[in-house]
Amino acid sequence: MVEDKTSFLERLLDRPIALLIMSNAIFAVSYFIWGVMKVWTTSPIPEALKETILGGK
Amino acid sequence: MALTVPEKGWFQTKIAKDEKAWIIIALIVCLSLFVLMAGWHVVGKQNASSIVYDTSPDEFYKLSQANWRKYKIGEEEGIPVVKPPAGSDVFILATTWRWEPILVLKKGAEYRFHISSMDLVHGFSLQPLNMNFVIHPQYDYVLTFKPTSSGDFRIICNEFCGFGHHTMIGKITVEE
Repeated sequence: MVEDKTSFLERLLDRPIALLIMSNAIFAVSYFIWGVMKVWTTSPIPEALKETILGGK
Repeated sequence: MALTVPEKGWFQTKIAKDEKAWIIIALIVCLSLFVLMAGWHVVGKQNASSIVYDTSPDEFYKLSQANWRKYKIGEEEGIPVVKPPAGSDVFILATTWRWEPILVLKKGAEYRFHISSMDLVHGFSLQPLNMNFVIHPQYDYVLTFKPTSSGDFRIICNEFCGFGHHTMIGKITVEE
């Protein structure tokens, strides 16, 4: 049996469809994670500010 | 097939000097643009830094009403005319299809704008300066705003929001 010595990078670069899918998937997943992080870390309006607006003169 | 796999062994072939040079130049250009993108935010003043708070349309409406009541000086076609003091918080509400209130500001004074939408995504576009911000409902966008010239300015909606989108025009008057 002949051992295939082709490197992983070469095999990956030889598959244009896989590259096409990856280029979209990596973008979509990382953007989605970024969005989820942004939504999770958004804080509510500070209570002090609300009190100033609602009750302050 | 439009996309064909190169001949076996292409990965090990030596890259010509000029090709290597172009790859390096392209890489440098890409990295420079990447650095510029972040740097321009600070140096070029291209994107305004904004604080974003989580809110609800109900809460924001209540805060806006309280804010306008305090500084109201009149009304134009059912829209309150508000003249907030320098350095204060100013609440701006986007609703299909109007901007509330009409603001009267002082040239050179700094204000903290709180902008949110009651219903759909709207686009806050200050004309003729062409400053644009996307306004989503459920979020309070806080922008520091300092008018540097006097006159009448218009706020238009630049995110299509339905039949009356083109009539969604607000006003900011800056006094000397």
